[in-house]
Amino acid sequence: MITIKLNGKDENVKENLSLLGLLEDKKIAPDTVIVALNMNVINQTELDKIFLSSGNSVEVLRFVAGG
Amino acid sequence: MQNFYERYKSHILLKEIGVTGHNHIKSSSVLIVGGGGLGSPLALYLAAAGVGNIGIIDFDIVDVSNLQRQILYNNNDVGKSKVEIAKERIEKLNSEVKVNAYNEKLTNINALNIFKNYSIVADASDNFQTRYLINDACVLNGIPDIWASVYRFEGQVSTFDAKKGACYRCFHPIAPEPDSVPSCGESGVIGAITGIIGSIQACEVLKIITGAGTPLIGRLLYFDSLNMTTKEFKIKKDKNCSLCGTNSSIKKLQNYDEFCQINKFSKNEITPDELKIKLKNKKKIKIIIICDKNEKQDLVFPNSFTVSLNNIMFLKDKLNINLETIFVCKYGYKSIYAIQLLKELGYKGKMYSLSGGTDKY
Ligand SMILES: [Zn+2]
Repeated sequence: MITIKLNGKDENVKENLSLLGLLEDKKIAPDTVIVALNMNVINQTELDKIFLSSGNSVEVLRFVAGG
Repeated sequence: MQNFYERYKSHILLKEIGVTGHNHIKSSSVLIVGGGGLGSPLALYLAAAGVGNIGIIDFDIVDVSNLQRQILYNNNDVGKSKVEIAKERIEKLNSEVKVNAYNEKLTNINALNIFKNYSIVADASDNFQTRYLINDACVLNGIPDIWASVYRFEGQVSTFDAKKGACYRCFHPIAPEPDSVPSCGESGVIGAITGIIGSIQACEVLKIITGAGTPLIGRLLYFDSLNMTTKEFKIKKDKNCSLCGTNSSIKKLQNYDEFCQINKFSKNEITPDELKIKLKNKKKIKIIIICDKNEKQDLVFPNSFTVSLNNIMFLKDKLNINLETIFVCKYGYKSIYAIQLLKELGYKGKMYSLSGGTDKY
């Protein structure tokens, strides 16, 4: 297990977990959110290519359209 | 002259604006899409600042439930056209402003024609279809899209200018289903957040016009009014963006209802069991495996070949339109993107994405 920050809170996750894997574990549909790793928005098509390492900060924001 | 200075002296005193900046504001043309919670403060502040030409497009009428946040309107306006009231209100605030009220829905048919009269568009709309449409029309016209959206206590703002940074598609290339994200009417929204975020948009518009400061290009500002915190994220321009990337595939406006519904399971997804049955019955299908060089793909499918995501666009002229095409990737995600892209390119054959990808096969 490794420890990351998810929306500011410590979270233990398994090793070799991709950002897409993290969303799947949390049952979050990737097209409904914005995912940022260390304050950089990650393109949706890259989510499966980026693997978490200890100390990473991940923010998952809702992708919204309200006006 | 006295009058002009009196009215705008608080702007003119700012060294970043001054008389020159004010003259730029006076000769500028800004289109506001949506006369709701964000559109209200936007229209009022831009009018107060003396923006010479303001366009506002909305086909809605004022509902009593709008009055909680849409500060352009009052009790007497319920049941009337939003843009007609907005025009009256703006002209009362500042008679020097010319207002074009478009009492219609923004569509892929009227958008480019309307946009060509403006040098900046502010996206204050309330649905994904319109937001992708605005972005595409802005990129095709080479103008910036001052974007914002709100939800409950939160707001998000960015300035999408494909000439200098990311566009909305770089930010979020795969549209969510229309019903997967609730609207303000359904989820609730605190009125004041629309005021805060709409005012940030107005500030961005005035900065772009006058060249003052640093605009939100390539940055996402996230505002949480419940805890009163803000966060800032970087947004990279995507060199593979289907709209503003180096090999862009989108050259004209799309069908945005279709684009936003493409993920609907019933239409485009096939379960592992359904695919196994098709293969067992030796049904004539073509299987495309989407796999980049650095990925490992262990499964072998008959009548298949492998392409990387960046080369999907070249399939348009290679696929047999009479054959069902099944897209397969590791998690069932790139495959949806591939279908979306080929549909945008006008491919009409039947396409399915293996849901859950080979991971679940
Ligand atoms: Zn782009």
